[in-house]
Amino acid sequence: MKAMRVAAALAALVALVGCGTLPDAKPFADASATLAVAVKSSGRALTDSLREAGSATPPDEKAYQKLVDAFEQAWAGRVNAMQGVVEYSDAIADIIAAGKEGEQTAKKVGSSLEALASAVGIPLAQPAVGVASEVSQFLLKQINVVRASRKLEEALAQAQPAVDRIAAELASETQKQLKPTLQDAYKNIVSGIKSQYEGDDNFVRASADRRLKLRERALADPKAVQELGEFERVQAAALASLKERDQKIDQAASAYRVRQQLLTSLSEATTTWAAAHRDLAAAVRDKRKVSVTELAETVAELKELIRKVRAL
Amino acid sequence: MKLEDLSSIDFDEPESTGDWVKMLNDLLGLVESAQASGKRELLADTLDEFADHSSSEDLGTITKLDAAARKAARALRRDDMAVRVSELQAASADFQAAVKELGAATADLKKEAAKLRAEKFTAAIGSLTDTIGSLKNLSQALTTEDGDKIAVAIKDAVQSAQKLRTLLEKPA
Repeated sequence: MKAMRVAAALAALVALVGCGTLPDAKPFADASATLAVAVKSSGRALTDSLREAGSATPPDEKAYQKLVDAFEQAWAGRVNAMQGVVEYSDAIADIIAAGKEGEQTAKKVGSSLEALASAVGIPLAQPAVGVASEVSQFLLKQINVVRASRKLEEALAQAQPAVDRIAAELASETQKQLKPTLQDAYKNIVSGIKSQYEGDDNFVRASADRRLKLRERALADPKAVQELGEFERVQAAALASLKERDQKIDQAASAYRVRQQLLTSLSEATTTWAAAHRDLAAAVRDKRKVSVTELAETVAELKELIRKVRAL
Repeated sequence: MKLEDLSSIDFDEPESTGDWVKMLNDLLGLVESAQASGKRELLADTLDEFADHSSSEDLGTITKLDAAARKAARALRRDDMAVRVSELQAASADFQAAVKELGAATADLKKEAAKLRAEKFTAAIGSLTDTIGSLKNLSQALTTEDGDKIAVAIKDAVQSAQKLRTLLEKPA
């Protein structure tokens, strides 16, 4: 009898472990919100830094203002997308916290995913329309799979390919749109700096032969020594001016590198968010604690880069 | 020049300010065919390279050419079409102004060149007189049948002829 009671208790324990409790998804939602704040701050830091760079070449200031406006506009799209990420993460955390596992829950996950795609700017047209992009067709198909899921863990697992694709779209947008804008701005900053020193540069280049001739003359005729001295003074002034130019170019190159690094890190952060979502789905399946360590570290790195861009 | 040629431009080739003018003229002529983003970027980079490499003792002109090249390069990198067109027009006007000034200076140079050609002609006549004198000596040496004198006379005549040839072939 005692053995039967022990067996029953063990069976109950196994059942309990099998069902387990759903994890707390709030850390995932919180980390997503911190990432969104970092993205917003990055945009501000980048536009401020570009505005300052533009003021280094006064004739181009008006054109830079237009560039900064275009960059701000492009960034606003990214901020909207990140707001979508936050809303999706909050919705998933709420769904998990509600502790329900049925088909209705899966439908909610599908709707949240649809809202995320819309915030990122991917229109989910019906395939019948025939003009839907490959990515929107993929997402639509995947959302339907999510909605047809019977359990929460299945819905989250099926949502993962869609989340990965959305993150990839955001990263690719950075590569295609924001990085070229920054590159053009950098090249124009360097061109503008060089323009200001063109006279000195041309003088130094043309003066190499003249200096040699004057030296030869000075060797043959002491009267030419004074002329050589005056020439060398003018040349030294031009060289000093070019040194100043090169310092400005070096500074612009360093600033460009940090800005590029920030954009790269933002793309990586999006991918890390998708990885955190994968971990969340696995945690729900395994009934274990959610880990957002990597996402938190990425956000910390972003903050450090934002600080560097602001310090430029 | 075509857009496909941009990557193989030899910036060490131009020798005179006129050569640089021609090159910039060719580059600015490609603006119309460089509408796509990638092509604009390539042309913009080449225009900046032009300004990086150009060199002339005519500092005023070369600096103006460089300024026009860089202005056009920056214009090509503008996303805003209206800004781009307006800045390209300004760059083209700067280039034309520089060429016009160079044209005026070239008219003066042509006068100088005519003077140099006259000096060269005078020198050539002098050398020709020497050559004729050497040939006369050769002819006299041949009549005396003195071997040594003939050798010396032939050597002098050849040297005079060479001197004359060098003078006539030397560019103005």
